[in-house]
Amino acid sequence: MFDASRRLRRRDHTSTTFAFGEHIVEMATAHHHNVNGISLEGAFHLAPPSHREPFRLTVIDDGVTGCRPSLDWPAWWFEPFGIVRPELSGDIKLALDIHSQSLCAYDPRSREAVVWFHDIRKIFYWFAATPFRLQLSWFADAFDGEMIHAAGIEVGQSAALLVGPTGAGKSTLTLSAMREGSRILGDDFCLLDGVSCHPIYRRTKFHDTTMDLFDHSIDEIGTEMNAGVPGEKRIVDTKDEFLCPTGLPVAAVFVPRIGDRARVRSISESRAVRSTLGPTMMGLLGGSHGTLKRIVGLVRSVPTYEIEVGPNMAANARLLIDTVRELNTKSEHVRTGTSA
Amino acid sequence: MEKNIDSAYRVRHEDVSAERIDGDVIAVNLVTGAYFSLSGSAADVWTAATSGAPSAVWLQAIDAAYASEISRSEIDEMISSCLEHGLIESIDSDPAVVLTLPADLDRSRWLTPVLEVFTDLQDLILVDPIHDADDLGWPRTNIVDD
Repeated sequence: MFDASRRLRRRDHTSTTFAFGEHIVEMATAHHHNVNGISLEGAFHLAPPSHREPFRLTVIDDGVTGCRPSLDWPAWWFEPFGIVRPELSGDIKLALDIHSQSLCAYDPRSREAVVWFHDIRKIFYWFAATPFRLQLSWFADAFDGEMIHAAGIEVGQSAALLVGPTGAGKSTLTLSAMREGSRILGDDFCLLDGVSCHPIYRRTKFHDTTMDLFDHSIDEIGTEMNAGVPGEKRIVDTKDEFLCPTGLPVAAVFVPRIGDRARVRSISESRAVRSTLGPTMMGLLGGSHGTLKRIVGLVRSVPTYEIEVGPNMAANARLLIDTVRELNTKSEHVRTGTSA
Repeated sequence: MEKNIDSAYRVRHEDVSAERIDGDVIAVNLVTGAYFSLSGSAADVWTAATSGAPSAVWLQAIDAAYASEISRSEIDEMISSCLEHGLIESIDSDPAVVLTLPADLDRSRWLTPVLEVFTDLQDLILVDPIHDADDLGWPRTNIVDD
């Protein structure tokens, strides 16, 4: 796989570089690599070339003429999905990824990952919203970072993280905050580096039911990329004005819950960990040895809240923003030794 | 009958990640994809039993911490569950271990220690493509995104 990826990098593929917290990723794809017509490169915050040593990610696609590698693989190779046991894969990380339906390999010594698809054009549309998160989580492991299933919202000089399972209200609250003028660091997966949250993806995705709450005003926040496709979440190429391009320290972790009015209350650290852990593991084929430790490290460092999301969207967003602003003010008073 | 409480244990860190937080222990078995929650007395049994201390020492630590009577059979049952799920394993005890239970719990009353098991990830974490592979076909069609 690595030999094939190096040959393709030289011959058929073009490279793009995107920001990965304090690091960069150099991604090589064929120009026609897209998912249902949606480009992969556009999912990321592109970065200029850098002298820093990049992580390298190469995309190989059987389904594209001219990119077929020499390996002949039968279709049933991809059952079952999962990460291959280390005793079988040695120092190389190897996985059959249920999310991207691909064969993935990563060599931590050379910081190279390869993702190999049968036909990338046919995989699930939502892959284009947050692509390669498994490989990025492997990269992040090198600096004790984590790809965390969370929405990040910029408030002042800090970020509010929204965590929890599907249907909890993350997207609703994120969209509410955007309409109140907040920028986001991501609506699904962000990079956690210590207690800082970094943006990785530019795209947001929303259920039609969420958009119903806002009179289907997608145009306000960006361009819908899968318009007219029934039964899918809306993938939105988010306008720059709504995207926070740099990492921020996390001020608080919020677990949203659909309720009858906007209110916030403190919750235990363990509840916040459980709300973060399951969805993160789900998105990363189980995560790594460090996943739990890193989530616990974050939650121990910041306040944790449940936020009830009521029918008044603006009130939900203002409560979130005001709560974080209050925390920031208190932190500033502590830092400067002044009283509130 | 209560054979498990006659041993010392360790967390199987090769496959298991575990953290105690806020009076709860959260553990993940990275091989099976199952994750676990142990609250209250269960967190104490986990902390004490996996300290590596001799069984008499870790049992005494639990007994001394609680104002009401503890149940050795309930402890034994919980240890059995942890062993069955591959979270811990029996080891030779270390008499030098100094065991202190964290002050993060109300221990006025002993409650049955329970290992809560969450297996919703297990379908995603089948990890041996060589030995487990079959010819079901690819890709699957019933996948719903999170």
